[in-house]
Amino acid sequence: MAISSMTQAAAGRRRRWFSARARLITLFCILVLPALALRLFTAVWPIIATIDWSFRRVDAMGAGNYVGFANYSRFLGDQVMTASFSFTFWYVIASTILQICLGLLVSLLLNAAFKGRAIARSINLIPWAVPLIVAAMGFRWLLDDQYGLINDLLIRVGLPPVHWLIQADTARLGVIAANVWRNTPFIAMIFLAGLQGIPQDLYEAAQLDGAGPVQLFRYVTLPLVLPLVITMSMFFAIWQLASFDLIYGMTQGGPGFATSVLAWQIYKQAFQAFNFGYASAISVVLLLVIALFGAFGYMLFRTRQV
Amino acid sequence: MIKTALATSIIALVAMGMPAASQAEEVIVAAQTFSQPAIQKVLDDFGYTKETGNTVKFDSASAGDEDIAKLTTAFRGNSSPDDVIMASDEEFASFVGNGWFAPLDEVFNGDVAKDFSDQMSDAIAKWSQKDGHTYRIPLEFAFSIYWTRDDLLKQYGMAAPKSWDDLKANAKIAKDHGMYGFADALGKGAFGYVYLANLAVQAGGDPFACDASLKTAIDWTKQMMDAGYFPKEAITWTYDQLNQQYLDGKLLTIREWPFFWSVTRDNKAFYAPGKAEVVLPPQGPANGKVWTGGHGWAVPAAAPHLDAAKTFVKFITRPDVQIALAKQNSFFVVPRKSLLAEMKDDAFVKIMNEYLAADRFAPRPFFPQLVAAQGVVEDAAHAYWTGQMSLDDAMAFCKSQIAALSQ
Repeated sequence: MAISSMTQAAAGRRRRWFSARARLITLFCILVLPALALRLFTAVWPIIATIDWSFRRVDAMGAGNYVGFANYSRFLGDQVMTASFSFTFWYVIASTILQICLGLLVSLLLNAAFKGRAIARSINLIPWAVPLIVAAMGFRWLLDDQYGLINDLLIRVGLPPVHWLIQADTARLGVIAANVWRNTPFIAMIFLAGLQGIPQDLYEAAQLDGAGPVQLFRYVTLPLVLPLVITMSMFFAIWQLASFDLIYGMTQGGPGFATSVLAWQIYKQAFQAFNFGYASAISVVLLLVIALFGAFGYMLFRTRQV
Repeated sequence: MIKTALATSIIALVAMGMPAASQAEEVIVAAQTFSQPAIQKVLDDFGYTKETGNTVKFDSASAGDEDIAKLTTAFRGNSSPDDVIMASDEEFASFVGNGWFAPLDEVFNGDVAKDFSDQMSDAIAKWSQKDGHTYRIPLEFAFSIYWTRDDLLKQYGMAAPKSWDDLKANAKIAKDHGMYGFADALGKGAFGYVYLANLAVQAGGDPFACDASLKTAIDWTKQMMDAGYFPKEAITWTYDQLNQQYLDGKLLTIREWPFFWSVTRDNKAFYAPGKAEVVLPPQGPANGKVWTGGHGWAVPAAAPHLDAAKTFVKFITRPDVQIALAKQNSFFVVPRKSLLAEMKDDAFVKIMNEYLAADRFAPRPFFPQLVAAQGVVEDAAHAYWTGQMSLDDAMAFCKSQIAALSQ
C-alpha cells in the first residue's frame, strides 16, 4: 500500500514535471518558431536557392538545366569579373584601413577637452546622416571636370585640373575617398564611446611613470580600444564587400570597368542581361569572400582573446 | 401564364448578363509623367469613355532599368501592374522574346499600318514585330539631330560640316578660338552608346557585332580627343552637361535629341537665329544616317484587362488621335503620313521631313539583352579612351562579352 502510494506520488510528480516541460516547449515553439521560420524563409532559403541557381542556366523565363560549374568557369575567365573582384578587394581594404585610422584620430580629437566639443561631435556625424546615394551624387559633382569644386580649388591655387573620374586611378581614389568620408564619422563615434570607457586613473598612473602622449596612446589607449578596432574593421570590411549604391551613383563602374565591384556586376548580370544563373554564381563567390573575411575576423578574435 | 413567366425570366437573365459584358473597365496605362496631361486631354476631347465605356488611370513609367526590373518580376509571375505600357526599345527587346507582350495584329492593320511612313517599315519590323506579329505600335520617334553654331561658322569662315572630315577641319579652326569642334555626351548609362552607335551606323556596321565600324567610331573619337577637337571630359557627361557647354559657347557642333529644339528656343537669353541650327548628319565612311528609336504602345500578355487594353491602343493610335497628341506634345510626333501632312508647317516636323527626304534614318541596332549589350560597347570604348586597353584589346573584349551575352 505504502509502495503503491509512493509510486502514485512519483507518477504525479512526473506528470506535473512533464506538463511543466510540455508547457515550456509549447511556449518556446510559440515564441521562437515564427522568428525561426521567418529567418529560414528570408535568409536560408534564398541562399540555398542562389547556390542552386549558380549551377543552372537561369534566364528571365525561369530556371533551366544544370550546367555544372559553367557559370563559375565563366567567372574565372571573365575579364570584367576578375577586375571587379580585384577592385572590390582593394576598395574594401583601403577603405577600411583609412576609415579605422581616421576614425581613431577623429575620436581622439573629439575626446579631448575643448570649447565647443559637443557641437564638434554633432558636426562630425553629418556625413553619416547623408544617404549614400546622395553622397555618391555629391562626390560625382565635386569631382566633375568643369563644375567640380575640387578642380576649382586646384585652379585657384595654381594647379592644373585633374580628370578625376575619367582616369582609372583617380576614379578609384575618388570612390574610396567618398566611402571613407561617409563612414569615418560613425566609426569615430563608436571609438569615442570606447575611449570614454577607459578609466582615467590608468592614464594618471602611466603619467606618474613618466609616459608621454605617444606612450600613453601606445600602451594605454590602443590596447584598450583594440577590441573595438577589430570589431569595427571586420564589421565594415564585410559590410563594404557588398557595396553597390556608391558605385551606382558615382561612376557606374567606370571609366570602362575600373571602379566596378562584384555587387554592381551582380546587378548588371541579373537586371540588365537577365542572366540570373551567372549573377547567382557571382553572388556565391561574394558570399564565400564574406565568409572568409568573417572567419578571419573570428580567428583574430580568438588569437587576440578580445 | 407560364410562357409569360418564362419569357420574363429569360429577359431578366439576359438583362443581368448585359451589364457584365459591357461593364466599364478601368484601364491602367503606364506612361511617362510629362506625357500624361496630353493623353488625358486627347482622351477627353475625343470622347474615349463615351466611345468605349472604359476609363483610364495613369501609372508612372520611366525609361530606365528600374521599370524593366519591376516589370520582369511581375511578368515572370504571370501578372502585370498595368494594362497598357509605353514601352521603350529596351523594354521591347527585353520582353518580347519571352512572350510577355500580347499581339496587337488586330490594332496594327488598315488605316493605322498604312499611315506609317514607308521609311518606318524596317524600324517597325525590327523593333515592334516578331515572327510576323506586331507587339508594339510606335508612339514616339527619337532620332539624332546635328546642331551647329551657324553664327560662329560664318564668323570664322567655315561651312556646315557635311562629313567627318569636315567636322575635323572645322574643329581645328574652332580649337584656335578656344572651342571644341564637336561633342556628345559619352557618360555611362547609354549616353556613350548612343553616340557610338550613330557613328558605327555611319561607318556602315552594327555596334553589337563589334566590327570594323565600331572600331572606326571608337578610334575616330580618340583621335579627336587627342587632337583637342573633342572634350575628353565628355566621357562622364550626360545631356545636361553637353547642353550647358553648347549654350556656354564652348562647342561648335553637337549631336542631340529633338528636345534640344525647345531647350534652345525657350532660352531667351541664349537664342538668336543661327545659334542652334539643324543640319543633316555628316557623312561617315559609309553613309550619313542616324539611328532611330523610341517608345510604342504595348499590352502585357498578363494585363488584367486585356481586351480593354487593346481597345485603348486601338483608340489612341487612330490617325486623328495621334495628330491631336502630337499637337499637344512634340513627344508624340511620329513619321505618320497623316501627321506629316497635317503638321507640315511645324518646325520640328520640317526637320523630320528634311531628314526623311534625305533618307537619313536607319533603324536602331537590335540586341535581345539591349541594356547589357549597350554597357559592353560603352565599357570597351571607355577602356580604350582612358588608356586601360589597347584598341585591339578593347575590340576583342567587346566581342567576347557580346558573345557571352548571346549564349
